[in-house]
Amino acid sequence: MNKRLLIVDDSIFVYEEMKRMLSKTSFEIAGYAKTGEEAINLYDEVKPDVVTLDIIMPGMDGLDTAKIMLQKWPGAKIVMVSSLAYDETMEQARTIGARDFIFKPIEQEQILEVLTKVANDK
Amino acid sequence: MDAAVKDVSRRVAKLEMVNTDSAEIDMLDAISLVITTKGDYCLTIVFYAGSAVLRAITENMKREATTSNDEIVIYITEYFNILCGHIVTAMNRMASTSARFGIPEIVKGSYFSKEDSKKEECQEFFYHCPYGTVSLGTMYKCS
Repeated sequence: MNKRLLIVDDSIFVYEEMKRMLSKTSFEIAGYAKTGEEAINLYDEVKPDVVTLDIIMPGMDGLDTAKIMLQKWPGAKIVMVSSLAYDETMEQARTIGARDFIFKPIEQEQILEVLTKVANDK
Repeated sequence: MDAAVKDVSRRVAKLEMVNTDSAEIDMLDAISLVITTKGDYCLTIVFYAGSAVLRAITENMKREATTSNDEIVIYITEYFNILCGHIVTAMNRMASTSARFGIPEIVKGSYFSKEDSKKEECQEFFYHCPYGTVSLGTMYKCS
């Protein structure tokens, strides 16, 4: 059975790229949200196996969204997406409970490896 | 800085950027994208380009033609976000510092004034691609 993915990113480019890279894989894009607030409202409807969450977003940022998601759905599997690969935000994301990171620009090999690992995590 | 511009432009926008001394940006509908880092250092990064380059970056990222200015803003903002991510990551690694940035601001025309450009803390690099010249400028606002 395909794994359900919820993409949260204010950039349509990221959504389009992920859609292209994940077509014909075992991942199905079950939902797309442009803001953290939208993602929280969509979560119950989408029932994702994995959430990809952009860190820099207008309004509620990715870290705050992750915090709320993990309070409401403690089993949520969250992968943070960022163009910044070295700062204290990564440590904060780990502390909150994010499972892994994907760095932009997103490469097909990287995204598949990370999503597969996280989706199969207990 | 140089490596980030060339690598991100090639991988994200499918454009080869070549260093040039020319400071002649096509002024037609030129815009500046600006971020200022927060954290251990405060650096302003500015990408300045004319409409032909902005459109080419958008169309290459989108893999199809566009006529919409809104779309150009969306795609060029993401390109700049990735570019800044690479620059700030490299600086953080090099100096073992932590700085981050938020959503870019878009300014019509040039962000740096002629006076800014002459300041010691302001640096500007120029790149040429088949659609025109772009500049990437940096300025430290504080230590």
